[in-house]
Amino acid sequence: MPHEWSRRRLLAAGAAIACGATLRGGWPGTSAALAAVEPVELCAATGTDAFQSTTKAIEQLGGMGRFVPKGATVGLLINHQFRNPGAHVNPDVSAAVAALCWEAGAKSILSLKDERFTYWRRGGRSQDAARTITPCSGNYVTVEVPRGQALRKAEVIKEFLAADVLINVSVAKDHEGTRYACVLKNAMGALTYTTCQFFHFGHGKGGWYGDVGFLSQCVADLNLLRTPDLAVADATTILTSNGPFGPGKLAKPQTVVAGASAVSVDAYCTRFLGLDPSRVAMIVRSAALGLGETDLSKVKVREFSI
Amino acid sequence: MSSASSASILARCRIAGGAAVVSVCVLTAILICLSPIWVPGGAAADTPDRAILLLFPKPEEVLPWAPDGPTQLAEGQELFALINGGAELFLRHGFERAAVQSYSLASDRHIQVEIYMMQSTDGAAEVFARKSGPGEPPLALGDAGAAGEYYVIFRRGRFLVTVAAGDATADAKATILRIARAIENRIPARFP
Repeated sequence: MPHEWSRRRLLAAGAAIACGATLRGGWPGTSAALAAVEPVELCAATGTDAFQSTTKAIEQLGGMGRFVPKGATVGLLINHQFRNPGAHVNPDVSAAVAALCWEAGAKSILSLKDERFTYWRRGGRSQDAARTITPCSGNYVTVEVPRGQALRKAEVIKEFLAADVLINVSVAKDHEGTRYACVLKNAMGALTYTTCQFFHFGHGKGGWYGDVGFLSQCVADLNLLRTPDLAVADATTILTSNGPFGPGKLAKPQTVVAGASAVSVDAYCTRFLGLDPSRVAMIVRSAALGLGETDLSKVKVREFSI
Repeated sequence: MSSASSASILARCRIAGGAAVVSVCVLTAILICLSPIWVPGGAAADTPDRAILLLFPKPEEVLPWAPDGPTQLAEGQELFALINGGAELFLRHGFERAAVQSYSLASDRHIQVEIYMMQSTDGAAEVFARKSGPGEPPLALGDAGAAGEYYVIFRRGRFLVTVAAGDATADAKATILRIARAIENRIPARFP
């Protein structure tokens, strides 16, 4: 998406230079500082403050202005369905994303899923953000998936397609069927229960996970319908067993990963569960559809600790 | 009689005539006062399919924590709407119904209690074996129990129960154990 260099973006770039210099210990204008602020395609920020990690990770991508033009309507697809620790996105991560969208000049921010279990109350800084996010219409539309191999038709929340910008905010975690769930799988949150059931039973073999390959292909096909403009993966506290619902064992990588490619972000985050992305079918199948790169040596990645 | 059915009677009497409203209001108040059983979230537990609600502790047993929102119930395939893909494991082993209740303390601390009624003791044992991972210390609770960092899980008869806190502080751990024991004690009394 082309962007003009507005005053806001220039200011954001200036702030990013200062931030980069601080991170590297250099000063603006030095080679170290300039290298640090050259936007990357994927950033993993590690620290104990999830809000700050999210903010810094997105800054390293070039700032939220790269993804959210002034006056844009933003659809936030947040994995906040479950309440057990590690099974939902840390609300501070979601709050940071929302705050950055406002700073970038978003006209409105829509939550593409109903919030459950008083989600926003769980985060230290998220209650203010909650007041600025609008529930979406609740209306679903039936659409064709032209290149879909397993999924040909889907009932999807209207704003999933209609929002100017789609931001997928998910949590990396164990999943009983697919072994791994994060950004690509979270797209299912925009669907009706009927369409979700098709993912699980459409193969006709019986069983909720009777054909994980089919389920994985449906997930890949769904992401063809609309791939997020920005993918943010919460890996601060993650569920490593009994996913996706929990309760189960937890790991605390204390990391937030952001990138423009859902596939690359997912490929990166598999490490937190000790998995190889080439063994996660939904990632492999999404890459085969041209949705992103799984070979992270071909992706500009920046990792840092705060 | 549940408050819901009392309200229904009241509504019908309002249609019948104003004079009847006063007497029915009094009757309703008496019936509510005489109601011997507290049920979470105001949900009625006066039918067999809702008897599972009677297993939750009374509010005074969990103080200073308090019930947060209504109890969620699921029967059969409805479990998918409640716990998504996590439902498969239960349905595979003969799931009957479940009830989920949250408790909160201040604005950002919570405990979630899930009670699953299976069709058989064997079903509860199968699910317990899957959900209590290796390395979790056993806990003397029910027929078998295990403790995680921030949760406990146990089975008793054909019930499987998880009580999970949003944090692993000492008081949260003490509370989840207190809730778990309260439920454990109610199971044989309510479902002998």
